[in-house]
Amino acid sequence: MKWTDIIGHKDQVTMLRHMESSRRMPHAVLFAGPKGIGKNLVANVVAASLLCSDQEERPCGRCHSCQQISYGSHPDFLHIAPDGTNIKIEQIRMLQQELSMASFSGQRRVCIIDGAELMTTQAANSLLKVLEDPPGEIVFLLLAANKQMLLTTIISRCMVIAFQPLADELLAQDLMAKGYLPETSEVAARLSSGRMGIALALLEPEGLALRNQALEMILKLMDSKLEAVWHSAGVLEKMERNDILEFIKYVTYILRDILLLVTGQGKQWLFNIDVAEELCEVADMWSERRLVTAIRAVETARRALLANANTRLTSEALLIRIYDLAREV
Amino acid sequence: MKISCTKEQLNHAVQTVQKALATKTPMPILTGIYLSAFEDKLELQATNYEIGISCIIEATIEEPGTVVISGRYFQELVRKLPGEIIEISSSAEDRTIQITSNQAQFNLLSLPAEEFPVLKKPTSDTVINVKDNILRELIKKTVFACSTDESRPIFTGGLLEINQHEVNMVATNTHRLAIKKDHLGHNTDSIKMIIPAKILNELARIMISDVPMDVTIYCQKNQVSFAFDNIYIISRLIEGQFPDYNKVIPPSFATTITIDTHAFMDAVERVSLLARDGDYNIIKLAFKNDCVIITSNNPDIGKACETVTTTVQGNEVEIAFNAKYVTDILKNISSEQLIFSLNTPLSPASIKPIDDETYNYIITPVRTN
Repeated sequence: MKWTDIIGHKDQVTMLRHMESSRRMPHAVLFAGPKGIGKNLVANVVAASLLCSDQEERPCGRCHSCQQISYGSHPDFLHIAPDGTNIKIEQIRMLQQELSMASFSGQRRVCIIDGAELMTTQAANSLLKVLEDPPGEIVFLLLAANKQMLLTTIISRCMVIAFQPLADELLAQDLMAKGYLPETSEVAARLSSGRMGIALALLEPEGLALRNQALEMILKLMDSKLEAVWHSAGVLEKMERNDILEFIKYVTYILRDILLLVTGQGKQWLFNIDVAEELCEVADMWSERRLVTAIRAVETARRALLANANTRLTSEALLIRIYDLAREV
Repeated sequence: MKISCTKEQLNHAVQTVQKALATKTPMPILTGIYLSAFEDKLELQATNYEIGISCIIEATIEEPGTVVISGRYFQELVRKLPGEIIEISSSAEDRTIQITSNQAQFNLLSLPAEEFPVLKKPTSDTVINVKDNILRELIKKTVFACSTDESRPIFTGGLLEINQHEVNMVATNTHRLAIKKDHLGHNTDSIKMIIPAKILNELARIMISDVPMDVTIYCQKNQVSFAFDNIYIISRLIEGQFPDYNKVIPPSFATTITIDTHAFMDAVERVSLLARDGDYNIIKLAFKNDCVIITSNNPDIGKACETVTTTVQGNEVEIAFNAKYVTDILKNISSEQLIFSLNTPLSPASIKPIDDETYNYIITPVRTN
């Protein structure tokens, strides 16, 4: 694990390296930025370099501490992640108990709290005490995808570093460097909105399954009868809530791509570049106004689902709307 | 690695180190026992990063080496092996460990030995020698008074204080405090450290020699090691400042009672049967006319009352205590009689053996209206 393993995030890395090398690391840092963007990797590298015993280059990857980190058995490197859907108060209590003892090496400790926004209110409040008055020398690295969900009292005790998505080209280049095919890298980079973690998940076998399903459904709605609605709604009903939300996201992407084609923007900005031909074929059926309305309808459905609306009814309503919009003259 | 050793020794070593095995841990390597064979010796180690135990036994080494073996299964199977001699050999290719004894043979998968955080033999500038019977006594007489409430970690450990030739152990949960003092035969450096109660209890359990032997204590900034016989135990320390316990001990008492330990303990235990249900487990003691009247009253169950004869010097007092805090100390007093010293119904009292000035127990009363 090295600083050079990190793709992009130049400013953040420079700042962190500087703080680390000048021994001015604040005791609590909050990494805020969307899921899958690389916060965890950066946090791990920061942790490794804080614990590394090398004088010159940290993390060196050779010293005892670096090796223990790579085995995942470093005693002074604590890692807390959600147990189920939340970080529970028992986990924070365990942490406090651990921190009440002297550090194993006699030197500083690092604690990563991954998914910090998923702490229950009780857990967060219980963490406040240690965050404000940490026993011994310790650096807390809090990682949060939704900073807004954290208690303001937690945020105010941390130095906040925001992480932004990477540029598509940078991501695609790196994926190719990792050995993925150029075409698939391109699609993954575009669809992941600049998030390495998501891009890698898309490149897994079946990673694009949901996207393909969304595309297939839209194409079907356009060239068949109303039966397609009932069939597709049935499929959607059986999916997990997170999958449906993901599915709906792809529907938006596809409609957006068609919108680009309809307005004559050319292919270079398409997300779903690999299926550009199919999209071109159906683009004639649509007009700009109807596409915008359709995208709005998708957004309404997404909000309804987030608010726990009935999946079957919501998806039927959405599909009928798209079906109608595709046929309006 | 290829070795053979006696079952008795191996079993003893495994039972000693298994106390340090991690049970719930995200690091699987810590659930293993580390075996290292070198120069006619076999060293076993286990650690959960809070406590680490190492035990060295004699063995015939055919081929030196190190392996890590699943602690849970190794422990159980060593105890149940049939023969007197146990042979252990490891194969690097398929990462298994073969354990043979008589006709029984086990093949256990090994854990990656290079990942095990090997305990280093303790070294330190501050080294103190104490006899194990003294240390055991210090622990047993005080550590029961520690708190189990993790929210104030400093009270979950015992304070070991060594000053020149005096050694003190103090434990408290803020409602009661136990202190035991002893002498070392020689002058040493002064140290002060808070050791987790769990580890002290473990240490007392492992030190079971009949003849007093030396325990070497190595003190470092963040950890302490106890080495004796063929064993060493490493523990992390609790960080923080232990409160000044001398302030808690009242300098003088208005009432002093001498009482028979056994009679008192039996009476308190009987009376507390009815008190146990409540939150505070309250018993009341009334000292007057050379006797003590012990009462408890539980509105839902009933009342109990018992009188024990004593000698009371000074004022008459009525006072209430948490019965558990009283019985805890009575169990640890070995003398026939004890001295109970009090001031007022709301100020701390002291209980100590009649013939032992080095042991003291301070208990705070409960307010009752």
